[in-house]
Amino acid sequence: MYQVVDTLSDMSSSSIFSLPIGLILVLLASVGLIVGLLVLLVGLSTWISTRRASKRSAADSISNAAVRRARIGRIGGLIAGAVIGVLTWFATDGILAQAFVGVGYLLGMLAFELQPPIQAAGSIRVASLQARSAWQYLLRWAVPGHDRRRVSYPGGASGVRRCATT
Amino acid sequence: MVALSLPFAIMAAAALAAWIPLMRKVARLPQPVNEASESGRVATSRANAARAVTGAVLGIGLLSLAGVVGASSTLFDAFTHGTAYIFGRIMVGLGIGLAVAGLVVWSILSRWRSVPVEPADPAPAEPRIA
Repeated sequence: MYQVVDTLSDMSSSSIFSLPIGLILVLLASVGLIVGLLVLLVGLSTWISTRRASKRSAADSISNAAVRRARIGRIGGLIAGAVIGVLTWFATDGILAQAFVGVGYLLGMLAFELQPPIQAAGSIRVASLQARSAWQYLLRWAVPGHDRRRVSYPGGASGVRRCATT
Repeated sequence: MVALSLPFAIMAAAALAAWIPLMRKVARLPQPVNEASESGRVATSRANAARAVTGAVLGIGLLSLAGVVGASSTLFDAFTHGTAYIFGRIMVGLGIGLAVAGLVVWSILSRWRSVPVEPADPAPAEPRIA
């Protein structure tokens, strides 16, 4: 004697394929609007500007490497964040999708752009000290008086330049 | 409404909290001294990173704020006329405007620009050879 248990009906009732086609279209439109538009705008902006910068400094291999690292990190992070956001769409009701995109973008930057490049080591070392703080890199309009020279930067020296030359 | 607003508020707070260590990381990036004469180039990549971090944090903050405002506008759904109705419509418009502003700010600040950053110290120290 066999007892037939229908597990398919429970599965299909919670599946996306059991939804009416109109609802699926609305869902896709909302995913596209919330995640796709963000990824498209930021990704295109990054892609176009870095491509332009690469062409402008075609002869400079160090600049090109920095621009390439930035492009890969930012766009890769955006796409990874968007994928995670879409995959967790139902679990988070789509609320955290944009946060995942942002986290992916920042992590991509942290992994590629904000890692110091590997430098060649040699017998002659040259070094200098220069005061540097995060305030220096704030947007111009965010700094009081719009003039960085008149602003006293809190924090003091925070950066040590080091390089090896052969 | 609170249940819907809380994730957005946490999102904005987390973005702001992440901004400080990221900017510190940008400022602490080592810089080769043999490129000191071409500081514009090196400063450009650092300034671009700082701008991109700021843009992402601002964008996430504005999008979260848009979410909070949008969630709050549901309080006025019951009203079909009068001042409360108009206030609800204004909040919906404000939410959409903030979301668009977040997208635009993030897109603009993520552009790679070639303008060098002015150094904090007008007369930087000469390199010392050891």
